Amino acid sequence: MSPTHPVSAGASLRQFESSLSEQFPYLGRIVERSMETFGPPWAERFDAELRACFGGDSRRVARAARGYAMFSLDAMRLQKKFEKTRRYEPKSYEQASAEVYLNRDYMLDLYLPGILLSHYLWPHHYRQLQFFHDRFVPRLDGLNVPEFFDVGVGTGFYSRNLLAALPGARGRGFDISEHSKAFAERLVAAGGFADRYRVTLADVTARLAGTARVVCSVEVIEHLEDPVRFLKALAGMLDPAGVGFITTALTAPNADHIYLYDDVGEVLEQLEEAGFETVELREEAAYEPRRNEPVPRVAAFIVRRRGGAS
Amino acid sequence: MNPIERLTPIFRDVFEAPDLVVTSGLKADDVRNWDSLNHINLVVAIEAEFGFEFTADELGSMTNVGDLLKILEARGFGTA
Repeated sequence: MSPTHPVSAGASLRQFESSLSEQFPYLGRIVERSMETFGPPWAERFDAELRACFGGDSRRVARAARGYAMFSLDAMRLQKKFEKTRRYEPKSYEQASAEVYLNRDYMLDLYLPGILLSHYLWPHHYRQLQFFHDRFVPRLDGLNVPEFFDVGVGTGFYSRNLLAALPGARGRGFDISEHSKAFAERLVAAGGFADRYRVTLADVTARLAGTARVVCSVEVIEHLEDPVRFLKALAGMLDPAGVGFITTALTAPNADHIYLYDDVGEVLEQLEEAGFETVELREEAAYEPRRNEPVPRVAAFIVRRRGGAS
Repeated sequence: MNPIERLTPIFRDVFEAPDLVVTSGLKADDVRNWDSLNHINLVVAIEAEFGFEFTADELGSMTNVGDLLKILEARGFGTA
């Protein structure tokens, strides 16, 4: 049996901070800094997330903290190369799949825990989550949603947030990676939503059957060779009366980022070409540039189908 | 150049501290701006200067510049 800490309010966050600091002196400071930036709501939300995910199991917390640290370091190594080349390393979708999505050790040890924790520890990712809660979720009020689609579930983080926001809805996730499917289903089950959710293994670049009133696709399009083709399929999955939440990373290299977006206007054009109307958007940077260098950014879009209900 | 001489401009640049004196006892509490983001910036800049990537265990053993020098020495970059 693995060692556990007593679980109470704030205990999971302290356990995580301590584990990160013990393994990587100095990196634990991100917790204090995030607390200063985002205040008690951040701490409460992150503590609840850690408690749900790890339940005080110190071994699993340590493994996730290590995954986060190495994921962040890898991202910065690539970012420094990118500052010089201004290009992502050439890679096909098949190559990215083989190296990342279908690579069990990389996915479970580094990529998925890294991304999950980055939703709280990377300021631009947390601000994207705030945008989701503050601006997207209120738009779901009064919308009859029997089912939502999350296309490219990754960790299942946004699926779980949607299940919490839509207590009457069932969720369907799609992903190419069996490791993402397993991780997402575990994450959703830890939130108590397993009976309303399932993930289907599917090539998300192919058109998937059916429509839903809510469609979500978080940081998927930069992983593709032809984002417009994917976005057109996504538009076809969104009910004309529905609403979508689509995000992407800009100037942010990663092991599996293929399509480089330099500015948000390019994404807007692609969304329009695919048949979406953008209702609202939010763009956030990971940190302030020091010498005008490109920094990792995310952009989130609340969309409707063009010609759909207003 | 010994490792400290190679490290000094890196530290000064990352922490935007042109007069910073890098010694083996230097640690984060002694330097303004030594936060988690700049620590990663520091690690990546040192990797670029010396041409290797730190292992997770090496990163875990690094609590001050002296620890960093031990890692560099073990990797064959000489002593300070």
